[in-house]
Formats: sequence, structure tokens, C-alpha cells
Amino acid sequence: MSDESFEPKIVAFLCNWCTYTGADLAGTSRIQYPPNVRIIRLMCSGSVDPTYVLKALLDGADGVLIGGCHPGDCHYQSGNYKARRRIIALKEIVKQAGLDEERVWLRWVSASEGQRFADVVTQMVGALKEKGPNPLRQEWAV
Amino acid sequence: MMSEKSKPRIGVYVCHCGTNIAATVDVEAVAEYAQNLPGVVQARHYTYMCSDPGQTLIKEDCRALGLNRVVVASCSPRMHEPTFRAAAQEGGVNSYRTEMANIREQCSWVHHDKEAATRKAKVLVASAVAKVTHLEPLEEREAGVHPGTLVIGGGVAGLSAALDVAEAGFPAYIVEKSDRLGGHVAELGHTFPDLEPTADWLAPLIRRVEEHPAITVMLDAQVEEVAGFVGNFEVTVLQGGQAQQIDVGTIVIATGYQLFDPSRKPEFGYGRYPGVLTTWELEQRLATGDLVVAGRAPQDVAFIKCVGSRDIQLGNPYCSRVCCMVAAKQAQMVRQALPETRVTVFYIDVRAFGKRGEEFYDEAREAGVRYRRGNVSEVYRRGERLVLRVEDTFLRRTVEHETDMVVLAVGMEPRDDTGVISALLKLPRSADGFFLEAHPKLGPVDTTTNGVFLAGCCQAPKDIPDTVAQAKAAASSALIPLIRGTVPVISETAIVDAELCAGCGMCVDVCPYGAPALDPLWGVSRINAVLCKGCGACAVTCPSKAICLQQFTPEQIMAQVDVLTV
Amino acid sequence: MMRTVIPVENNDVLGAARGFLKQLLEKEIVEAVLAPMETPSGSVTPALVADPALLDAANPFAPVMGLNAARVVGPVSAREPRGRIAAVLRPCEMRALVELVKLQQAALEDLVTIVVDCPGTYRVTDYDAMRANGGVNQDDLLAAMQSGEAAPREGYVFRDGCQMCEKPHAEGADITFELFGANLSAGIPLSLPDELAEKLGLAPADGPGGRAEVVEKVAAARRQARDTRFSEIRQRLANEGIAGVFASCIRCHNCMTTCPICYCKTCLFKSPIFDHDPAQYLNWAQRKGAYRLPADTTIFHLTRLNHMVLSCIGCGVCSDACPADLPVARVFRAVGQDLQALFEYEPGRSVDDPLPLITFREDEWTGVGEER
Repeated sequence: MSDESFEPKIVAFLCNWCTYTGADLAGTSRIQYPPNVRIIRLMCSGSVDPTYVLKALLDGADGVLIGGCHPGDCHYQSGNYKARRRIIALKEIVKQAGLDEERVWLRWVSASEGQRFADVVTQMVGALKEKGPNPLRQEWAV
Repeated sequence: MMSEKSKPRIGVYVCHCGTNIAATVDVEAVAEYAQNLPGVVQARHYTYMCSDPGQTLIKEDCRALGLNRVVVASCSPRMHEPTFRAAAQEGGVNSYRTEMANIREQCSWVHHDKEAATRKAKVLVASAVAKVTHLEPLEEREAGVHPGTLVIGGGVAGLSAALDVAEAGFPAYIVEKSDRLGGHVAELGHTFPDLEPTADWLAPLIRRVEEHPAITVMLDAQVEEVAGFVGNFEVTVLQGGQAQQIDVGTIVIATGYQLFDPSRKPEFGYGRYPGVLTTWELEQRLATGDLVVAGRAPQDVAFIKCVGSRDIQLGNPYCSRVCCMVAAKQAQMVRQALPETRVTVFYIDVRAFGKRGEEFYDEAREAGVRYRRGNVSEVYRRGERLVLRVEDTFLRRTVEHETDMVVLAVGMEPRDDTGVISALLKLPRSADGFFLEAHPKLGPVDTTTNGVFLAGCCQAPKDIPDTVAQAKAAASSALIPLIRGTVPVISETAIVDAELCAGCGMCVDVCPYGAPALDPLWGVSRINAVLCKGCGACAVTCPSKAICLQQFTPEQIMAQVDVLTV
Repeated sequence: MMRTVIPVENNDVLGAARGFLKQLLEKEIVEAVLAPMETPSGSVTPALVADPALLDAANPFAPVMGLNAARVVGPVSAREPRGRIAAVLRPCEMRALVELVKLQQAALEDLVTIVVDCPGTYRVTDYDAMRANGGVNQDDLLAAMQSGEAAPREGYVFRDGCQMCEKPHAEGADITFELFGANLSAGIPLSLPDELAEKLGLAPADGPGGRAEVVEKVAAARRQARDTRFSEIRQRLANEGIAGVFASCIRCHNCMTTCPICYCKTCLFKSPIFDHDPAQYLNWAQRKGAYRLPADTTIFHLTRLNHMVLSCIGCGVCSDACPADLPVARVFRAVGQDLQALFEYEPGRSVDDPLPLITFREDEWTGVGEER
């Protein structure tokens, strides 16, 4: 399904030290990307609670982006490794539960990768436009 | 349910940031929208919220309207959160009941479409309002400081930084990987822009450092591990197979650079023709006076600039900043040593900035050094001599230049072991591989790790005066916590609700800092707030949310999610 | 470990088992025995028994399961000071206990675990109905352990959890009652530590042999039943989504309350975090046009999956407890199968296997997050 006028809504949980700073760098570098992403700043990707991601999906977010530091770069040593396991588990549950796990993206973006942040958002918006709106947005019985 | 006393009374302040935000976001519309959000008592927009009048606006509203929460929609919280927290505090609002909506870096600067950007800015403000509604007041906290600074690297940057720290009355520890002090500079015979012998100023500097009672120099040593945080770093140094721990409050990184290896530019024939050498090798030849090539003094010497710098294909797009001046210096010295020898410098641009830079370049030309603009594409042998194939960018044609000695002005690169230090201290690197400063303008010596500072070429190529200036800046920043004697530690720690805790101990397993522990008597988790770094790993792991990370509680985050999915 | 056989006289298998439990108290090996007990009214419930005489009411073979007894082992074992206790458990209860030990909700230090091979159990309601109407076929079930062809009484079924249980045999315990493949009228084969056998005056003796084959036969049939259920429920999840499958959930939390792994003192979903303001409900109703109540049912089940499914040992009590008769256990077991395979984690196997979500390896899933 593809609807030209559909603008996906992406909720992004970004770690303060890498991806959030990378998003700031995209700003200071004036790198343009689609305005579909709404960022929630957390201290670490390891503190992204799967329940937040589930809530966003059930509320109707078209996509959820979790951004953290590249492996080995976590400000808190190992938060991103924990996040990696947790999000992999979550995506499997989401898939098994008959929801669309492809709406959940985990990406490592460092503080110096402003361009990568913009690229990730651009790619994600493209992929979600292909998919169309999250059907749960209209569903009241969840 | 909220009591009447803590019922939200929120002030929202939308910043124009001159035109930085206002040109792309309809700030008036955002303020108008914010005025109708639940709990908002007053919403305003103003040219520069961070300016004195802007802050005064917030403070006065806080008092006059009895606000208990503040939202500022402006730049990144990484920029001005402390500013607005302080303003709120002065207005009588607990500083932790402020929240920022990042509508500049993450909105106006990255979107062109004014309508879409304005829409997004509104949502971001609503999200901040939703979060601030649930924020609880927190107390400021402090920790003591180990008086002392670790300086990693014993080159000019490290020496200068250590000396300033020591002169201020605090111990400085220099950890140097090699067996001597002075770094690369110690191998330079003379320095620009005045052809002064290096030893004249470097030797006294090294002597002052070595003789200073407050400075400990550790040669053949390297940093093995760094634990702790600003004010309380525990550094393990390995020297001669022996590990020892040094406790310091701050760290200055002065690890320097490495020279570009010109064999990566095979077209210049380095390593193949004995007549092709680097500026570094010529420096040694000039020091000994041995300029003989192929058994005789060269009649012609050609310099090629920007070798390994300003080269996108090589992955080094940056300018190494010193090579122009090094070439000017060495060209003059060759002319002095061999007045009959023709000396030509092939350049893309001449960058003769800085104090006395342009004058020094003029002096080189007055000394008979010829400057020719052109890209050298190849060096090859013709008989006894070497030939440069040059694309002359003035004449717009390819010319050949016969010579006896080719000097490659090699640039600087991040050291191969930058990654090791980066991993030890959790420091990000910029795209060029050098350490990334906290802010290119406002925090050029700071890093994203509090208490760790950058000095010299580990941050970016620079000349000696700039290196010393940065080292002194790093030293003075490193001294701030030492002089204060305390450092603020995060208030946003994890806390346990003992009523909810079932004592499963998973928080203990996931914490990298050993902050939570099970109380042996009650079987519930307790968090040592001094050890807690506020990462939130324990809170996610706790299924009943008996542990919450303050300032990032599930209520707060889910209130944001709620608003952001509308 | 030593293998031995407890003698059975006059075909009284239950009497022999009771005698064994009494010995544990009388020889002061333990201070109390936690075992399924028949109440004066005939129901079966776990109890902590200190008086050996009362063990005449113990019934380790009662084919009924109202709760997973690992839940009640926790409170009597988790913290010091505590007594030395023997606990009689089913295989699924032992597996749950292993998980609870990792979660520090129970401790093995002063515990003697006794696990009994399980032919399958009835729901409490069925068990009571049977008692009132012709009796429970417990003796038939015990006799059928030899061939592995134990069948429920006509007109009744085993619990859904039991029907898809592929691990019905006792293992990993201090003492195992090895009923599968045994002619119980000739004696009850069991394994126990040498030291314990010595205290009880038991001599080594070989059982009948062939237990492994019978266990495999039972497990194979159960796997088949399980896989049929899994493919059916996976199909439903794919078609209707989890919200559809759990559409009639009344959010009573019974599944969570009975789940042996759900160890939280207060479930997140009973905490103020999910206690929303009235205006919030209206807000949601206006947003989607309508809002299902009770709220947060789908996120409750998804979060519970997320919190415990890696440790789901498949006892199935969640389904029995559901007043809306939802296929909770089928969903959780099916999802659990995939997740447990993904993390190569077998819940209940060993207290030494780390819980998957509190551990990590740097060199795993290295491509995840790096996609360009």
C-alpha cells in the first residue's frame, strides 16, 4: 500500500550521548531530513523499556526508532549490548504477537554521525511510507 | 493523582534564536498552541531566551505567576539546559522541574518546510509539557575531588598543561608512552615562523617539568584502565610491567598525532627513489647539514605540499595546518645552506595564517624560494634526476620539472592508538578520526566526558602556539574542579521503592557500577547514589518498576509517548 | 546418585510413597515436608507438614494441579532463618523452582527436592466433579505409567498445559520418583543421593529399565499435540493479532497471579503507572473514536510476555485460571518456544544458566543496529 499523502509518525528513543548528540550534529551541520521523527531523549539505549515501544505501537505510532552508541562506545559501558538483546527479544515478541516488528528499528548512530542519523530517518520514513499507516492507529479494541 | 500543591503551573518559553528558529518555525503559533496545553499558565516567545532579558522573563514569570514548572523550547538541552535550570531555580522553581523542547538542532535546522517544522515544533513542545507535568523536584548533589590531574602524553601539549596545573598548586602526572619527553617537537631542529632553534625553548620547558616538585613524570608508561568519574578518576598506569593506581580529579589528553605515511601515495615514488624524502626526514638532514643526494649537493629541490592532507580520496579531507609553514621554513633553510640551489614549492594554496605567518611566507620568497601553483601528479626518474609531472593551474597545462630532491610536506593523522584511549574514556571521535571536542566553538577543549579535556593535535592538527594555547586552556578547565574541591554529581539517580521490590537482584546483575545491592536484612534492593551514574539499566530490568530513574520515570516517558503518537 | 526401589505391599503404591515421606521426618532428614495433601473434604492442596502422622493424607500422585507449587516453595525457602524442608513437586513445578531460584525468590540450600514423574493432571473443577461422580482414576493412571499410555477418565481431559507437556519426567531434583516404565505394584523406582539413601537405610537396586523409552513415547505424543496447538495459535495470532486473541480478556490478572514466574510483589499493571486520570481515558476515546475497557489489556499481555516468556516453563496454570477461557498458555508457550530458541535458553534446566536478559555478549548479533 502506498498513499502519497501519508506522513508516518516515528517516535524515537535516543541515547543522550551518541544518537541524540548525532541528531544535534545533523542540526548544526544543517543536514536536512524528513520531519516525521519525534525524539524522546533518554540517557542510554539500555534504558529503553520495551513497554514504551509497545505503548507507542499500540497507540498508533507508525514507527519506533531506538538509537544508541555503536558497540564498544556505550557511555555506560554495556547499555547498548543490553538494549540489543532486549530489543531483539521485543521484536520477536511483537512479530509472534501478530504485530509488525518491521516498524521497530534499532540503529547505532554515534555523536559524530549527523549524516547517518539523517540517513536513518530518511530510510525509515521511506520504508514506512511503503508499508502505509500502522493499522492500530484506528483500532480501538487494543 | 496530584495534590493541589503540586498541581502543575507551567510556563512555556519559545525562543526565536534570532532567526535560527524563527525563520523556519512560526514561533508565535507555537506559543499560542502551548498556551492551551493542560497545565500551562503562561506561554511566551522571545528573540533570545538565553539572553539576560530572556532569562529575566522566565524568572519574573515564575515569581509573579507562581509557576512550578518551566518548559523552554529552543536549542538542544545539551547546550543550554544548565542555563534554564538556573533561571528557573532563581525564579523559585526547582531546577529539575524544567524541560527543554529541542526545536532548533532537531527541528528548524533540519527542515525547510515551515508548515511541517511548525507542526513538529508544537508536538515537541507538547511532549516537553507532558513530561514536565510529571517531573519531581530533586536536590543538587556534590562529591569530593581527588586533587590532581593526569596528563596523557608528554609532548609540548602535555608538558604545558602539566606545568600550569602544577604551578596552580596541584599534582600533575604525565604518562608518556615513549622513553623521553618532548614528543614530535623534540625532533625538530628549528621552528617557524622565526627559524629559532627548538632546543632554545623546549629544553627549558622540559627541565621545568622534570624539576617541578608537583609533577610526576612516568616514561615508558601507558594508561591501562580508567574508572570513576569527574573528580574521582581511578587510573591504572602500566609502567615496566608494574600496574599502579593514580587517583585524580581530571584528565588531560595530549596524545598528539602521527605523520602521514607517504608510501600510501605511491605516485610520488617515496621509498623507491632515494631523492624523495619527507619534510620530517629533511628536518634531520638539515640538522646534520647532510643534504647530499646521489653523491652530490642538489642543484634543484622541489617541495610538494598537502601530502596526505586535503585529500578526499585518501579519507583525509582536512588541512594539516602546519605543512605550508614547515615547507616555507625548510625551503629557506635549504637556500641558506646551498645558496646556488634552486628551490621550488608546488602548492594548491598557501595557507600562511596566524601571527607572522604571511610575513614568514614573504621572507621565504625574498630568500629566493620559488612558489608555483600546481598539482603534482607523479614523480619519476629520468637518468640521474627526478622529474615532477605538474598540472600548472595558472597556465592550465601539464609541465615537467626536473629536480634532484623531492620533499613531501606530509600532514598529520590521528594516532593509530586513538581508538584505545577513546575506548578507555568513552570519548567520541570526529569523522576524521581525531578526538571530538564537546562543542566546536564553546567547548573546544572539553569532551563529552566530564572532567576529560583535550590538548594539542589529538583533537585536530595545529601548530605549536595553538597547541600550547589549547594545553593551557585544558589545564585551566582541568583546574576548575580541583580548585572548587567538589564536583556536582547527577541528581537523576535511580531510586528504589522498597514496598514494591521483590528482591530478585537483577538490578545488581545489570549495573556496571555496583550501585544497587540487596539489603541482607530486608531482601530488597538499595541503591548507593554516589555510585549511580543514572544510566537506567536497572530500572528497565526491574519488571515491577520498583526501581525508577528519576527524571526518566515510566510516567514521564509514557506521557511523552502519548503526546507524540497523536 | 543411587538408584533404589521402595517396596510396595498389597498394591498400595500411595502407602509406600507416604511411608517414604514419613521416613524423611522420622529420620530427621528434614523438619517438614511440603507435599500435596488431601483435605478432610477431599480436595488437594499443598501443605507444609511437620507431623509425620499427618502424612497419611499426603498424595504425591494426585492428578490435579490448581497452582504451580513452586509458588509456595518460595516463601518457605527464600530467606534465612529457615528450616530444612523436603518439597514434593511435579516436573513443571521443579522447572519453575529453578527459575525462581535464579530470581532469588526461592533457595535450594536447605531444600530437598522430590520430583515425581507425571502422567498428566486434571483441572481442579474436573477433579472435584470426578470425585463427586464415580471417583478419580488415580490407580489406573499409576498402573498405566508402565506403558506410558495413561489416559484421562472417560468424559474428562487432562489440563491443556499437560496435553502439550513434552517434559513429563522427573529430573534435576535431589530425589526422583521414576514411575514411567515401572510396574509400581512391584515397587517404586527412585534415584537419590547416596548419603540420603544411607540415612534412610535403602540399598541400591535396579529398577525395571526402559524408562527412557517410555518417557520418549509420551513426550513424542505430547510434542505432536503441542505442535498442533502451536500452529493453530500462531495462525490465529497472525490473523487476529494478540489483541484479537485476547479480545475477551477482563484483565483480572489471574494469569499473572497464578504464573509461578511472575514474582513481582505488585504487578506494574496494578501500580500507579497504569492508573490513569479520568480525563486521559476520555482523551483516548476521542482519539480513536472509542477506547476498550478495561484499558491496557493488550499491553499487559505483551509486557508480561516480555517480562517472563523466556522463563516460561509451560505448566499451563495461566490457562486454567482464566475466567474467559483464553488460550493464555498456548500463546505464551508458542511465543516462548521461539524466544527461548533465539537465546538458546532452556528455562528450568539449571540454576547455572544465566537469565538471558541480564546477560550479554559483545560478539553477538554484531550486525544488528549497524544497517546502512
